[in-house]
Amino acid sequence: MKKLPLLLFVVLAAASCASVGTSAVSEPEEMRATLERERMTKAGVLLRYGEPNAVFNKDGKEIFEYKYVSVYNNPASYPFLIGLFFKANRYRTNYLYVAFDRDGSFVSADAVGVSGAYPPENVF
Amino acid sequence: MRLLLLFGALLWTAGCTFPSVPSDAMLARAENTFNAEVFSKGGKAVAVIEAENDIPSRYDLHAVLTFRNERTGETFDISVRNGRETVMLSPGDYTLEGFRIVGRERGAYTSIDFGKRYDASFSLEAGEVVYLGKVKTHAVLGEIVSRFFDDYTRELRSASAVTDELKNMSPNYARLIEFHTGKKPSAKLMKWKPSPIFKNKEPSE
Repeated sequence: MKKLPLLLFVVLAAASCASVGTSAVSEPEEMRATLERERMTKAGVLLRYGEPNAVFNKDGKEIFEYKYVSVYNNPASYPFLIGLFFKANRYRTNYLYVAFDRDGSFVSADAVGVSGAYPPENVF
Repeated sequence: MRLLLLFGALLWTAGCTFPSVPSDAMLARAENTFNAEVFSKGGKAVAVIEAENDIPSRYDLHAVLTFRNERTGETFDISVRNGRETVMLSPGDYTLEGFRIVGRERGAYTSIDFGKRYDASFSLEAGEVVYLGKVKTHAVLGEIVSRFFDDYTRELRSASAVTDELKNMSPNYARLIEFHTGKKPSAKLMKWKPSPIFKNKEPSE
């Protein structure tokens, strides 16, 4: 009986995940709602979420791009035989775009989230 | 004993779908795969790269180019499996870190690693859809290194260069790019030259 937790530990240890980016963007809708609600200034966003992954200008607005990319094992592929019907890995790419006007006031926040079986399908 | 058997059975069935440990390369591939919604936000560029080779092999070989983003220092692979690959990248300067020609069939694996034999670079701006060129690698026969009557072994070298083949791109593929990005790809060839340390070893054609 004592060996069961050990086996469970081995299985869980196999369930690994790699990620890069701002962890707050792992829940992009939540972050977007927070930004919409609090309408933080540029300085406020920088203070709470840190440096963005990219900054660019679009339509006269400054856009902060935060990203969170993760690749993780698919637990559905673990069960005996049933697992053969599932892809072994899944991925998730989340982006959050925060737009500021010239004086650094909040304009809008937009979230984009893509997830699926790894490797991702390429439209090309 | 039963536990060991159970664990063995688990590994055996998992053999077909055993989850590979997520790596930085997998993250880069997930991030660089084109997504129309992300591209429409404006902070990305799209790059098309082609590659072909005539290295003699029993199975198909394709080029894998490793680039480094000069701003972030991150490296990523572009695997040109079907002769052409389209990726979505952040704007910035990129330099070639490595160049391999690889092939895999039924468990057999071949890899020709050119290392830092070539210097290459390109830069991207936000919203751009660019064609970086076709990396052509040709086998070049070198000197005979050993001979036993009529049976001899000859050195096989190769030379790679980048050419502009945008005009020869399949119209359907060009339209597909335009459909998803809203722009036609424009030629912006990457700068490609033999690395100075290998320059003297390049075969004369």
